[in-house]
Amino acid sequence: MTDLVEPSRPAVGNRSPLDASQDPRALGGARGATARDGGILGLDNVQLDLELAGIGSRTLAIVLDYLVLMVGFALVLSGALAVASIFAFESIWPWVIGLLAIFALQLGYFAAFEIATQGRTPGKMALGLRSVSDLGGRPSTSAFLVRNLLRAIDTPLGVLPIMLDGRCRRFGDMVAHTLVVHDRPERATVDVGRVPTAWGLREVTVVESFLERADRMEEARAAAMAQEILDWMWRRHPQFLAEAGLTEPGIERGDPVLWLRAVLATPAPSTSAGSAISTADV
Amino acid sequence: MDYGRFVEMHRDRHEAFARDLEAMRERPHTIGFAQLDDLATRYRVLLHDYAVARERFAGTAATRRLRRLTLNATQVLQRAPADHLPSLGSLVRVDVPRAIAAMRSSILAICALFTFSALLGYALTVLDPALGATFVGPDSVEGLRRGEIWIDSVFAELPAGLIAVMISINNMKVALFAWAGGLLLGVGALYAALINGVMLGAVIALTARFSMEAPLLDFIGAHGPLEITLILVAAGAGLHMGRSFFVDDERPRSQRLAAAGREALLALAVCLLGLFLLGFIEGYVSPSIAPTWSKWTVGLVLEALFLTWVASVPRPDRAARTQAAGAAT
Repeated sequence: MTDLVEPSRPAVGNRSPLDASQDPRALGGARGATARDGGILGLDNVQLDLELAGIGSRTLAIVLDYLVLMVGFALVLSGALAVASIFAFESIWPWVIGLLAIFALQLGYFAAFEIATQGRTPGKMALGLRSVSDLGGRPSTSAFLVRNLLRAIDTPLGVLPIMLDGRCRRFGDMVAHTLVVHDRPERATVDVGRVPTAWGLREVTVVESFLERADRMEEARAAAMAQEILDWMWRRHPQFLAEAGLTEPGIERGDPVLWLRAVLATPAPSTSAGSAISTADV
Repeated sequence: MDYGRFVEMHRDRHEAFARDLEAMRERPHTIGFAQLDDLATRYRVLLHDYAVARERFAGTAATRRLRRLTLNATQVLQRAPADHLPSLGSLVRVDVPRAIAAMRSSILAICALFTFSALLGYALTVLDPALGATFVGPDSVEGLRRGEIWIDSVFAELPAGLIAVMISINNMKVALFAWAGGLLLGVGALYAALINGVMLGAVIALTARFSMEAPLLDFIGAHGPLEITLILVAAGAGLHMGRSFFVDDERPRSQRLAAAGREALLALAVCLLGLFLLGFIEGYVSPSIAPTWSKWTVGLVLEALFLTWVASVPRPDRAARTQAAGAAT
């Protein structure tokens, strides 16, 4: 890997190796260099590509959260009612505690969930969203508190800044320096390690995409597509397939998807003639 | 470098990193500093791998996998600076007084507006009592005519504990909206000061018109001074956030806003806690039969304690002064 710059070791001391001393803002990775989309500058000014949540998914998440809150309110009221009935409705304390619990839920539901789950509320979990700092990391506790207390104005007015801001931030996000991003679970990827010399990125991505989806496709359809790709490769790159161990068209038996994986997904030996997307192709 | 070689060279290393990262995510407290340092070093290598991949192999599976891994690692490893809660002692002695001192001019501006609007409300109600009637309602005005103040009927209908909680919640909501509204270029905070001032002035003028100011002053003595102060401090904190859009210093606006937000958060926390406790004074002490002078004594002592506390800003310690002097020279 001669073309990679050897990274300098992070600061060592009493602080975390990735604490404020490594903040790109402090290192000159100015916030002004931040792109309008989810491209933010990480350490060493490497651009990270956050997938910002738009107004649709954020609105849906908040609707789900309010539904959960409603259920919470209903539970609190039912609890207060049940306890009050035990005391023949003569004690006011069930109602006092119920009122306080409802207010605490209103005030603390979002912040408490985000602090406890590192940026996720039930609504965000359902939609695969997460609040992160504008450096892509975990926001501070005070940032979670500020962004959620500012819901007092963001609930009626927050849609406007989300629509106008290039990074879909509401007022609370602007003050707390946070972003809401899609945080989807990692999907299994298939890297093809051996490809015909003449292939460019387009061919690689198409075949990788097919191999990733093949297991979820109807079996016959996946087999037909894999066979089609193999046939096409026989016509265009017979030498490559010969080096991979296939001597003539149609010799492959069984599942063509497995054959295609065997031909392409195994990392190629470095001496192989059938290597390579050259950098000139990129 | 070709794609196949890139994948072959890095796949195992990236998978190992992903495993270690997952272990750290699941058991963050078992990770020692050396392991964290090692993970951080590998994270930086990962970032460089990703920079190469997104530049040369855009759209490929390896690049997408690296992108996701990079984002996950950033989320786990990149902590916001100063992500630690100060101790309670530090909060009480240093952080809160400093935060409130930083927003002193905003709080004073809010107090000035409140005083002005209270005088305005008083004057307008003297000229036209209908203004006062809009705040308390026609039934309360009828009560005042009969020599009854509306506060008595409220406390006659509901238990004091319930009223105390309802008052606490209402006051905390007022403070929260004044605070958050300040972010709208200060408009929300100014509105809160204006409307509360006019309301107070108008209500005092209306009760005075029916010679009922004595019961009103008797009621508000124990809780009123500090309650108003706390709401004004919350509004001042909001204005402090709103002003940070305009104040011109060497920091970028976003950093000014974030710093103002942190200071305002401390002020709000104090106000919410104070208003919560004051609700119980308003529910139990204020309507009691205790003499008026004793209620006012309680109210003024609480007010004096609060003002003394927030005004006692500690001087910067010697190290900070030395550092500042060094920077100046």
